[in-house]
Amino acid sequence: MNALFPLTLSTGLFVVLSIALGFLFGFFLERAGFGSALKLTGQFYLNDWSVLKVMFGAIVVACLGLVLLSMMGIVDFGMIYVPEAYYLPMLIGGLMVGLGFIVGGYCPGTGVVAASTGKWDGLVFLAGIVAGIFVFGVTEPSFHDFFTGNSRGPVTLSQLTGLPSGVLAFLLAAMAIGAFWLGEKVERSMQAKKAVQE
Amino acid sequence: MKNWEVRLSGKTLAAAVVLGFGAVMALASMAAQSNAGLPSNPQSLAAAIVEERDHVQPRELAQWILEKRTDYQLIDLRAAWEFDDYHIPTAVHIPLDQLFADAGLKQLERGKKIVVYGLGAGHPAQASLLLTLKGYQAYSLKEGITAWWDDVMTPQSLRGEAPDPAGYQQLRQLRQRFSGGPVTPAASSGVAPALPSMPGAPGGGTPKKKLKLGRGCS
Repeated sequence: MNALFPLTLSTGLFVVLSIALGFLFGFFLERAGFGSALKLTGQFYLNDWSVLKVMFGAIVVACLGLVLLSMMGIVDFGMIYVPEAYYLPMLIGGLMVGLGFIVGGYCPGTGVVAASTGKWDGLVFLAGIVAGIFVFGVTEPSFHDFFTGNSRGPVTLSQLTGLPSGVLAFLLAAMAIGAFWLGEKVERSMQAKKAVQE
Repeated sequence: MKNWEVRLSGKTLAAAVVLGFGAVMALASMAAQSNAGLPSNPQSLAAAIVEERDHVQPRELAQWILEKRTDYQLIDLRAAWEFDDYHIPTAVHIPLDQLFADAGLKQLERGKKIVVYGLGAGHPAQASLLLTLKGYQAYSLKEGITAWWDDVMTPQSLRGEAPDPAGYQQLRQLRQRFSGGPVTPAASSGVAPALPSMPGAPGGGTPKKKLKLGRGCS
């Protein structure tokens, strides 16, 4: 294939590129206001839908962009890494992440953003992450089989539905716009409810 | 006449642009998928066969496997015991007589290249032709698993032709990856490999049918 991407880089160049991309990621998260636990948990309480808009918006942009670049031959779609799907472990892990998000007020990426802007709760959250990783490492042998068993292999939506990736990208975009519109309606009704209570 | 003034807010405009772009992508990818693979009218298909565009070479397939590509499906058409004895990595076992049954067709994806192989060239060629007529992007491994064994797995020393310096390194790398271990004598542990148990030996189980692949002692 003569596609430009994925790139094959030397380790040094890879590290430099990773740092640059990470910097941009953190920069835009902070600019979106995601260094604030109040803004982040507002999504859970349904009165601030920024998290959905930013994250889902990024997903849709990336999805449409990948489909376009793959059709133009710039990205070799067949070499994009697809991780293996483990349905039940991922479901349980996701629930735990969600729980941690609400209790702590951050998710791992935004926790780093908060810590880097000097917020103490962000730093404590990061300490919690490190402790959690340690606990996981120590207890993992006891649930190793559950953790690594039952892989469904690298599954894509295109594989499950039989639809071409462009069609799925369009459906995703439509779903996102629907969700944004719904979110704004809910935001307005929550604000109205709050105004009545005050 | 009424003046229809349509004022699109920034958000609605953005949503319309995104949806429009998405619709174009959807249509383009549907068109690309229906045009992918070989033509199904006899004359064009015959021309493609003569130009060997319906084949995948063993080294090419080996490269795809090493790159961990996700845009192909490798189907083994042989019997179950042949598959269990040895199959090309990443191959899925669907015997030819079940390929077009519901259970078989369900496993095939229209968006991917379907590469079928068997022991030789006959059945896979027929299977790939049938799949092409059904609209799949079907190819067959040129001369089946025999070619895979000869071209990818056989060490240079057992081959008839003189070693080609450029190809030799690639060959060595492929052999190393697919044999699952170092190929130079210096790298081995020095312990002689265990001899396969003879069929009918005391304590041995029922002799397994073995494939007759490759040259040399097996």
